Amino acid sequence: MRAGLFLKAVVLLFLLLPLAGCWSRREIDALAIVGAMGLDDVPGSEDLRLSVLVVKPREVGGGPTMGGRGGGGGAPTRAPAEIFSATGADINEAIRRLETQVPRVLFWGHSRALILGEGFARRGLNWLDWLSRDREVRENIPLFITSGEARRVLELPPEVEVLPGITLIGILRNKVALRVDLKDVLVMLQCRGDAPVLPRIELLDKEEKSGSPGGGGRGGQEAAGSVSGGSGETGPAGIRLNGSGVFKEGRLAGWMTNDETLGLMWLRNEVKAGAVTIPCPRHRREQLSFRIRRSRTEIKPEIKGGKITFQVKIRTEGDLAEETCSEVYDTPRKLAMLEGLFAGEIRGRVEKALARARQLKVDCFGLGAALYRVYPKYFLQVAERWDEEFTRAEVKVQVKVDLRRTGMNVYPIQSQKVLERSATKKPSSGAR
Amino acid sequence: MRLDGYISARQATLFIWFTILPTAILFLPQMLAKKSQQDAWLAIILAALPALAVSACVYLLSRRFPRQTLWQMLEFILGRPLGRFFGFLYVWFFLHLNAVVVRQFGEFLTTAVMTETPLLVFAVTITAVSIYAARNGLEVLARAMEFIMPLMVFFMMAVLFLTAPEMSGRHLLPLMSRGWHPVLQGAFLAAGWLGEVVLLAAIVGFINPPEGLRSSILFGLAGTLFFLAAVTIGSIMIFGAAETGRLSFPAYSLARQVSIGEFLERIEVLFMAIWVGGVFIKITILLYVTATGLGTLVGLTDYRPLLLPLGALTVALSVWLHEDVTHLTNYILRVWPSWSLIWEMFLPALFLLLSLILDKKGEGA
Amino acid sequence: MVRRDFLIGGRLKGALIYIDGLADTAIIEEALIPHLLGAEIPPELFARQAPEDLVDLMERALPMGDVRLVKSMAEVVEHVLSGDTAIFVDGHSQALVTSTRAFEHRGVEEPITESVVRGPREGFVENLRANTALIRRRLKTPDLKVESFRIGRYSATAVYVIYLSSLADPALIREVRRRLERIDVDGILESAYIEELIEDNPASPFPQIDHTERPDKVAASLLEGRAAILIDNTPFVLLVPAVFVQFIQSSEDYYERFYLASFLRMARFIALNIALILPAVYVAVSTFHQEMLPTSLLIKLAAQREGVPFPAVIEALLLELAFEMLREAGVRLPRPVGQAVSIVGALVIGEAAVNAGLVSAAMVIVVALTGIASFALPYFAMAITIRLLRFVLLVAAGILGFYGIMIVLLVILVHLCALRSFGVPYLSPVSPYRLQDWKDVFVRAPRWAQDTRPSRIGYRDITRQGKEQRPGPREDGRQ
Repeated sequence: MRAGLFLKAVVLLFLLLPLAGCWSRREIDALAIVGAMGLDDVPGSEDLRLSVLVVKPREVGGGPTMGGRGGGGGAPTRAPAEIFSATGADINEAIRRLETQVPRVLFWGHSRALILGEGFARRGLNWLDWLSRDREVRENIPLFITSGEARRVLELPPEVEVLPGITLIGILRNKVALRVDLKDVLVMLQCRGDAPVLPRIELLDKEEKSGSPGGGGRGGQEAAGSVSGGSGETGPAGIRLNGSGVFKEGRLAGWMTNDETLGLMWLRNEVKAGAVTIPCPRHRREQLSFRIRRSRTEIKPEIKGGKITFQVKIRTEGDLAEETCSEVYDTPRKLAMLEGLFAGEIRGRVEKALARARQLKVDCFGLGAALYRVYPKYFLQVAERWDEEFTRAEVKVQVKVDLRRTGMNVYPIQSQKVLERSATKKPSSGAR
Repeated sequence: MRLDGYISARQATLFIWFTILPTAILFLPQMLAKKSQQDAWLAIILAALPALAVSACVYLLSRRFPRQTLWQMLEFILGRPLGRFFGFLYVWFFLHLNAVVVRQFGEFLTTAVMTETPLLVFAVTITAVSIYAARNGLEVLARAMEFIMPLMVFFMMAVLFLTAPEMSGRHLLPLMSRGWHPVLQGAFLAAGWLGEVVLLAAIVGFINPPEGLRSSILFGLAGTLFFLAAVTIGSIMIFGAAETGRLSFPAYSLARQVSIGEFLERIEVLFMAIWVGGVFIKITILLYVTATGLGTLVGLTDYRPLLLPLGALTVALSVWLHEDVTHLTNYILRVWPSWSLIWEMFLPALFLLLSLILDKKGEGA
Repeated sequence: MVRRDFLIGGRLKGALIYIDGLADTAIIEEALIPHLLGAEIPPELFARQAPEDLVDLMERALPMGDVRLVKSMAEVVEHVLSGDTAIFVDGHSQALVTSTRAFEHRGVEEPITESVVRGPREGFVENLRANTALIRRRLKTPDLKVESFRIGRYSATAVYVIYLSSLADPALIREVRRRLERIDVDGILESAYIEELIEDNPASPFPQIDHTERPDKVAASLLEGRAAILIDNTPFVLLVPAVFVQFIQSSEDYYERFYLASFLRMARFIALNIALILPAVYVAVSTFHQEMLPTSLLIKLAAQREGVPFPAVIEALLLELAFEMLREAGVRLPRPVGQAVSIVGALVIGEAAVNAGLVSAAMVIVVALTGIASFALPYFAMAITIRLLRFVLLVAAGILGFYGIMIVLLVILVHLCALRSFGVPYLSPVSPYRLQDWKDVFVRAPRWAQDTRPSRIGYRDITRQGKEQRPGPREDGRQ
């Protein structure tokens, strides 16, 4: 009888549950899936402007076709997403205002990118709190910075990938550009002797996108700081990750060019793939490329007589990827020479990054953190004025490059003349 | 009160594991990272010593009083009135502990998984299931443990392995940059949690064969400490000490980090589901122990009628004791370590000492 | 009922009683009656009217093998109703009963519910004697014991408990006996009647007693130390005790190569899980935990669901219900019509519903997959249980998402942990854990590695076979 009573109690309990409603239930088609977010400042006010890219599932995922409204991008085809913007004193206020515009429940769990406008980034990173406090936003969402308005990045028309967020993720997946996730920013920001760096999105207009003026040039765009965000009323035609923005004390302090960013990646041990291209030693107009397979950076701080020295050891291995030189590098000695040249190029990039960081007075390499790990007491003494100390610290960069393989062919394409030349010069060498 | 059934030494190992790990793994890493920064794992290892001391007390008591529960031992050592007095206090301690566990359980779910759902729903449902499970007795509970434990182990290992590429050992350095003090503070905090192994005293009489107890204690504590330390180290290696100390549930955030080729990611809901299984066992253990203890004290023949009222009391206490999550966290950080160690370490040691001095032994010792 | 009066040996008055249709009239007419009529009986024998006289008659005049002396009328009735022939002799208070049972029954055929690709094609029939013969042919040992019971006030159904006396636990047999003896119902028409009356936990949705139509399976179970309960008039034999894993195993597992068998067991285990939780998981993910889905899938599902008027739970419940109805319709109708129903139902309605935007295509896929998975379970009884629990899980998922699923799964887990079948824990050997028994749970170890019987059931004689059963190449070294 007792068991029966108990059973009745349990059954009653479960019967009560649906009466109280299904609190957290949200039907999938009642969601406004946010594909990407952009944060901008509102000039002349303390407010911020939150722009969200809300995916229109029926435009992207097929399904029963019904009429759709025009999106914000102004693209000729029916836009796959709509951009909503709202201002507010903080993100939450902006969201509450967004909710007065969006007919569905905003869902942040699938937001694939967060883009900061330059003006907003200069204000500081304290808004990060909402992102880490909200349970839907994920810690591994990548962050970007753009020199113009963040909203304009969201206006990217659908091309290979339909949504800008997916486009950005796809570019990051190539592993060539710097990737900084929300989690990394939080870690960098809270770590002593470190500062966040965010990759920079550059908007391209039609001409730039077609790639003629230096788009594919070595090391990317040198004049990164001066590119304006797109052109006029029409949306951007394309985007490119180029350079990065450096934060100091949570505020955007300055930009780094692409080369400097690459140097920064070497120093931060973030290089996973990519290529290093140098001119041929003898014929300066011909090129040699080294494709990185693996890379490892070790930083060893040393203190000698109150002077801090960082021994940076970079070991990289990879393949010879391209060679337009008319020279043959087929002996260990010649290869060692090439490796030295590549190492020099890498060191050059690192030095450039260091120079820029010193100029900005930001330790965006985590050198201070490395120091703290080995000499915690010493670092705590200088922690307050570390950015000053950092500029005085010496950084010794040692690069070791290993060219492991040469790809599907052993020798470069050589005209008959070159062949003969090399044959007469060195009959014993391997080229036949 | 007549209690039947026995559990094997293997199941006693699981009992220790489920007594400590389910809640500790979710809440402890954050607190430890806040207190001891990157040395949190050292704190855990250090906290093993008091935990070992507690279980040694339980072990020695069980050797002196074979086939007896904590309450029977108390009456033997202290005499009937005093033994019962302390017995009731212990029942209260476990009931209180259970309320805190239920509250933590609900807080986690309302914070991290289903924000719109009231906490009471979680508290009531899990307690209802626990009552049902506790009705079936210790043996059935032990069998359920055998199913949930491999799931927990598998999932924790999977999360740790899948997030390994993101980990970096540099977050663990420098070692003890601020000296011993933060580590000891952390160890003190962790000791309060690991000391929950004292629950073993309530069921120690059912372990068959009793000789297996020593290895159960060693393996149980070792497994618990291993996973607690592994998850703490994993969180710190991924988030760094500062961020780990800031996150509400580092272990859950760790599961959120898993991302293998855009396919195997976002598995934190599975973490939640398996964790619910673990906490369910913990709540059931506490409920069972409270009910059997109270039943012994008041001389009932069956503990089952006590389950429903005790469960209801647990839910009520869990809601009433703490106003909000900040109150709860403050309580756990400031009050709980010293309060719990009284019951977990000080009193058992005292009882052991008394039984040695008065030379009291149970039958068959 | 037929009554035939005659004079034994031309002098003594006697009568035969049998039931036409149950008794073999050919035997009665060609052997029994002529022998009785022509028997030479010394006249002094019948003056005494002692029981020995009937025995004497039996010895002299009855050509049958099975002849018995019965003392009470009730026994006579029972025998006659079973197809035997009773012989009454004038002046005697006792009767002779001789076995003439030969009623119409189905021939031994291949069982439909448990057909195999490889393995014997014999199945049990409705005749108890034929069934015992099928078992005895497989186990030729004096250890094979048969205990008979009569259950049912009106049906008086013959029930046999069969076991190997050297293997089966005597406590188990005692328990089976006790449970059978306490049954007091009006009739037993199928093994399910008995099953429901001897289960450990009658309120449980899980089957706690295994049943089969295959004599080879019964023999294999007896060899493991189980007991079989044979019931007259049904081809289904009950096997006790049963454990959970048995219900996802098939007798064919033992006839195929062990790699394949192990793979199939895993596949069935996965199918079991799919059949149990897939719709619930789909509902939980799509209404509570959308963050779990990959972005592209989420967008696809959202696009499909646009305009679907029902919440996902209701949609799932409706489709599941429709699916169950279709299945039921297909099972009950004659086969050609049944096929037509399934085609119309599944294809036409499903397609039309998706096109009309009443249900989403994804949900149709989920429900179909679940249906297929539930068909992959070898035991109908277990499949039904799983299907029922699926609805419970579905509702829980609709209310509390994954948490709801977990809560229900925990209840099921605790229930299963508490469940026993004739004292054997239902989830053994997984829990309580016995590693030595795992060789025949999720995988099927090769025959030569199956040295021991399941330790909870066949522990009386745990060793199953001689050592070193693993075969190898020719010993003389020739290839």
